[in-house]
Amino acid sequence: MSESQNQKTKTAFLILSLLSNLGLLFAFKYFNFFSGSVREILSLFSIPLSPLTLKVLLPVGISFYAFQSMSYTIDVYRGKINAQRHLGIFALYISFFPQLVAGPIERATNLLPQFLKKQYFDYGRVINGAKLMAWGFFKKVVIADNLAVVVNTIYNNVGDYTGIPLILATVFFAFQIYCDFSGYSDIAIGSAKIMGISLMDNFKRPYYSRSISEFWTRWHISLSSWFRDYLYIPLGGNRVSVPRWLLNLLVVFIISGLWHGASWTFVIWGALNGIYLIIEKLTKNLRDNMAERVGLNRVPKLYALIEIAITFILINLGWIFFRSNSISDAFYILKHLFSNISLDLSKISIGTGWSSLIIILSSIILMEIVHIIQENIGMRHFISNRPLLVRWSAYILIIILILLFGAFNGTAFIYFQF
Amino acid sequence: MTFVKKIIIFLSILLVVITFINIAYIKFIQPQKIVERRWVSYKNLITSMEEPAIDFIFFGDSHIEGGINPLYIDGNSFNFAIGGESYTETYYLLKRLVEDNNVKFNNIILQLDLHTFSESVRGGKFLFDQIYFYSKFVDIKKMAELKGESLVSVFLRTKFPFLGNGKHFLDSILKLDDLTSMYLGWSNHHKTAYHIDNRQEAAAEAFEHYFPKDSAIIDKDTFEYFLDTLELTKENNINVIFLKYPISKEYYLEIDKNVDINNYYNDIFTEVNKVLDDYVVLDLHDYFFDKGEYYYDPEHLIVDGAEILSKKINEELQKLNKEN
Repeated sequence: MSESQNQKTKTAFLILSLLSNLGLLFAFKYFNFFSGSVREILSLFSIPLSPLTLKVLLPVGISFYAFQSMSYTIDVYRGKINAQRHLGIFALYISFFPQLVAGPIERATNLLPQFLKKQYFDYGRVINGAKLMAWGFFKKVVIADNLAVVVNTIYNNVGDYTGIPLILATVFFAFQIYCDFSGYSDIAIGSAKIMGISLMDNFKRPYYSRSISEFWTRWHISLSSWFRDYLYIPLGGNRVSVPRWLLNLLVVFIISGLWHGASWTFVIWGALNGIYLIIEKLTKNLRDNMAERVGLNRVPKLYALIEIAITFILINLGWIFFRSNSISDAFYILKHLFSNISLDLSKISIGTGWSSLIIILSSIILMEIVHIIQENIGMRHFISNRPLLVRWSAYILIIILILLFGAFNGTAFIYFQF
Repeated sequence: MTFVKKIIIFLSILLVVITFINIAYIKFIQPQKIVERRWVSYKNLITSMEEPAIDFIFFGDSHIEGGINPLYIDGNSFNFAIGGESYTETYYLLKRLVEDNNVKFNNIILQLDLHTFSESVRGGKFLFDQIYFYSKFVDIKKMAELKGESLVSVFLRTKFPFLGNGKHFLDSILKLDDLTSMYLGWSNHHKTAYHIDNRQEAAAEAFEHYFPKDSAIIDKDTFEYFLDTLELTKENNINVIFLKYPISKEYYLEIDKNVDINNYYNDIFTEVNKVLDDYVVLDLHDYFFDKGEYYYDPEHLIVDGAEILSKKINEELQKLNKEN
């Protein structure tokens, strides 16, 4: 493709490459979903059909490396990078183990040149990588896996709960999925760093976002930017008529939902985020005017806090669809979120005891303190300015917390399923 | 300081901290666990006897653990049952007990219920939940093999029991630990019957738990250990009494709807007969069929129920003694 001077040939190769990537993705991940959906649609018209289903295991991380592969092809097609002619280097780019199964979805422009550089041992870099890995493990095994016990208990038996437990499980899931996925990203970025490879950031404290659009610049950044560069902008982005622009947003988010999983719950989750974004864009002036009238502009910290809270609530409503086992479960939760509210948790079984709850909440508070430091002065700067004794105590504390409070029950990373 | 020195010093400090926490866990937290307290209770009983002999020793899971109180059993008895115990664990525990040559065991009462060999609750991954306790007398390699876990994982969990168990420190500090009182191995803190509007639904849920689809009713490995346990009793001249534990009528009927109960027991006793020449079966499945008030769920008895059952079992055991 890169050698061809003929635009048509280039395009043909691009289409061939995209089709083979998307074809594999479709066959393994979406075939049964579409087949089942067709059957259900036809059954509405009393047309019985026993559709073909493939009994194949979903290759772990297929969505991640299929997208990474496609970004390479598109970048070569666009002339942003030269084609990689060394099969080993290209295979390494697709299957670089730290980020193979759950990202960050890297770009050839960032990753390929690093594989060609000779690497030297760098103590500082290795230590920074190890620190990041330790922080990732803390988020994964101490917070996410302990939260999973409560979330799974409630979300797998939603019919048994109303009110507070449903709210608790939903908020807990927000932290679980963040700690699970960002924890994995930290481990991946940290382990790559130890080997001298810099991977892109994937999360920037997303729950501190003041709007949905800001959230999507802080959450799963490698995927959001992929969709921006390879789908949203080619669709015309915001340089088209307003209705078309809004449609572009919706389409990108629906496809993003579908990328996460072959289920209508993910499609609705994606669509819901698209709708949020559309409403946000359409009401921007109105909201700005209202804030000015109420006087919120004069108290910027309160204004920020309100916006962060509203964004967090909206994101949580989306997570209900993301986590629910079925659409009916999701609607049950939405319907019963505020019914039969009782503050007496002692009579409700949420799958864990008080000591585990204390550990979970303390860990989340610790994480948020770190986030606040990161947001303001940067954790590396904060830590490196402390005496050796303080730094080492902090590192030992994190390792001990992981060993003591980690849930070592082999819970897989949530994003491995995608 | 060179980086090698730094790393060595850091790892040394970390190792010291880990060792300190591990020792603290083994010394202060582990002894509070029910398996350890039961062992201490048994040892105390044995050392209090001039010629140690146990007339009736009970094995099984939570049914027996909370259902049979040695207080009401005439003669020296001890309840070694514990929640979730399978015959794999029973075999190793009994093997350990009979290794103490100075103790004589006369009768062993073994639980034989419909869920006793269920793969879904007794399969490999559920084994040796109290892994540190069992590691004192079961080979680590064997445990890893039976559990289907890596040797490294089992090794770490047996040598460093604090791993992932920090909440027990917190339980202890906040006095949240479950220090249910125990009498010769019996422990039961359920004093009130269950108040479930739909007991049928509760029974169906219990059935789902023990007999899910695509799960074997008789797990082969567990059954092998059951037969090994019987061999062990034979080698040590211990009389075997099988106990079919009382369950609620709703739960029994739920099982009966889905499982051929007669066939299940026939299959088991065909194999038992190949090992044992003589044994007794106490069938009390229906003992509390019309006494729902004695259950705190479809298959576990409350304290009052346990008292009545223990007295009934005592009656049966004394009758057997007289017959012999």
